[in-house]
Amino acid sequence: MSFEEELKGSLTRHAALAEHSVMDWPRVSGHIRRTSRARTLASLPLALALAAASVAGARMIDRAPSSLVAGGGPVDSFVYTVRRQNPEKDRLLASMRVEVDRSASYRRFVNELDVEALPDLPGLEAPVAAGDAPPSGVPLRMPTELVVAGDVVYARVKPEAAIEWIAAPYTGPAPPPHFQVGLEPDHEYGSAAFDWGSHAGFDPATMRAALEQDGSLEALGAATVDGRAVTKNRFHLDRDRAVEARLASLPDDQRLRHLIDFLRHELDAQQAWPEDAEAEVAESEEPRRRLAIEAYVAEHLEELIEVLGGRDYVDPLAADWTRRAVAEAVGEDYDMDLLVWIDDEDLVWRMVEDRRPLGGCSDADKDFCEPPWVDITTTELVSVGDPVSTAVPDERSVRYVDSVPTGWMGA
Amino acid sequence: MRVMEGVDLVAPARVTGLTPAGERLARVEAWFQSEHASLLRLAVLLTGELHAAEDIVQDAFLRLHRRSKQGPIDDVAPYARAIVVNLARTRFRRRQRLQDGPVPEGSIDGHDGAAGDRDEMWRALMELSARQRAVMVLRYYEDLSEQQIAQVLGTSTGAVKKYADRARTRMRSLLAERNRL
Repeated sequence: MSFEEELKGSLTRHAALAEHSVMDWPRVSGHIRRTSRARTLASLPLALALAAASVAGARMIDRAPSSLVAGGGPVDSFVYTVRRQNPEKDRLLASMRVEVDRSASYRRFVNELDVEALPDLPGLEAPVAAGDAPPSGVPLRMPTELVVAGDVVYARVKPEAAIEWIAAPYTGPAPPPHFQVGLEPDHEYGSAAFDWGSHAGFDPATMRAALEQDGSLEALGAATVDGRAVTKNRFHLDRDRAVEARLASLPDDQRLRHLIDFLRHELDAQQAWPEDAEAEVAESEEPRRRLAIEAYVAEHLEELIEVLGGRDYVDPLAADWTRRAVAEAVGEDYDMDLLVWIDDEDLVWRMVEDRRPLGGCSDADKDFCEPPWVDITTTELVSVGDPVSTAVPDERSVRYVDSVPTGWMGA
Repeated sequence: MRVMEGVDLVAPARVTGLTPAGERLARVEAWFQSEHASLLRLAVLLTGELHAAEDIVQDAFLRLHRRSKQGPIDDVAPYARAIVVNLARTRFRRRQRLQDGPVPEGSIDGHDGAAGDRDEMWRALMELSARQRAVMVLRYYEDLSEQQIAQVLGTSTGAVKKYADRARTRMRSLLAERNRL
């Protein structure tokens, strides 16, 4: 047998391995839809995507209160901060850092956890303001990869997993207004802690009242600041949430107009605008700018509506994808790593399976403790300064901090 | 030659009542139903591993879908095949980087099981560079001409000949070496 014949025979034999494939169109189309959605959203400014969701008539606030806005930047690292009043120590209790490695394969993540030393940050020990206590036992969905080290929970997950996890719609009863959970991309731990501290002044009720008065961003900002220093970014995030709420509360025929007004503010405040439109509005002439905004929204509206889940329902995950600028990461050439197929083997699902029974709910917190949102809880919250474990536990030995609602932010 | 013959790969989806995005997806579905099996076989041969091949083919259709947004694709068959080859090569390089060096013998995606161990020809093939392997697979499995291979790889026919010659020399050398052992 010649070399060529032998090679052909070998190739034919090994090609038969493909017959064992379970690949089918539903699986592939799901992959396409998911990643295309992320890419589409990536190409759009945050405000536009939010606006499209609202214009689409979606009740995003009701269906899935959004968790948090990320202003942009690659999703290399999230800092997920959980704040809860410790009745004994009154301090920030837990913070979770979600690191995203773009280059390693997803499967490697499952078995490679990073446990870092607890950062020595003054903000971590800052006392929680009076009246800022969240309920205890509010459920949290957590991936099994979490590691609790002192007051800090670490996890390394793929962006999609982190996003799915954190953006999971919270369908339980609305938590009290002062309880907030944030996810911040590209923030150092300290920055997030500071943001979080400054965020204590955020009062949805006050904000809502301000909106009802005149809806101005200035009034909103005043309501948000509440006598505290608020970082620019924080203010921006608060504002986005408020605008979103405002849009959702408006009749359908008013949403677009309100949206445009909002976008004009966005432009004025941040000059954040897609490059192609930027050129068009370079002279900063208000009429032209307004036209450009309207044209842009009109051009992308149908597509946005589609990727966000249609006119009747906005896919909260899609919205959150945008909000967290996931697509900045996706938009780079990291397809093979980033756009992993999320299926039943994914940690998103495994984390749900890893729910643990909840104990110690007070009557006041009962609504938040009841299944199916009872995921994880423990009363053994470690205070700041306790020895930090550097061991890498296996999945079953992961310790969890107090539960918090995921996918919920603000009122 | 395992090409996408007889498949309407360029014409718009004959689906009514769909959004443009829906039509594009329907078009990609038609491509998938007709071609994914052959692309999967190609990917298996390039990677040596089924799961990796599935990932690559899946991403290939994602890219086809993305590309279709820009308009009709003149010749989908070589385009899709080129995507698969490129993704496989990217994956190969990434594995090399992760392992901080060349992928060791017999470790190509774990396809060193029983069949691989017995098949010296296969093992030799797996030790080629990604480019050389692609040329050999396209030539001896896909039965592509040098010109067609050059089109898929985005290179010249001269380069294809060079890769093929080097691949054959390398494989023969490996086979001879193993026969001596």
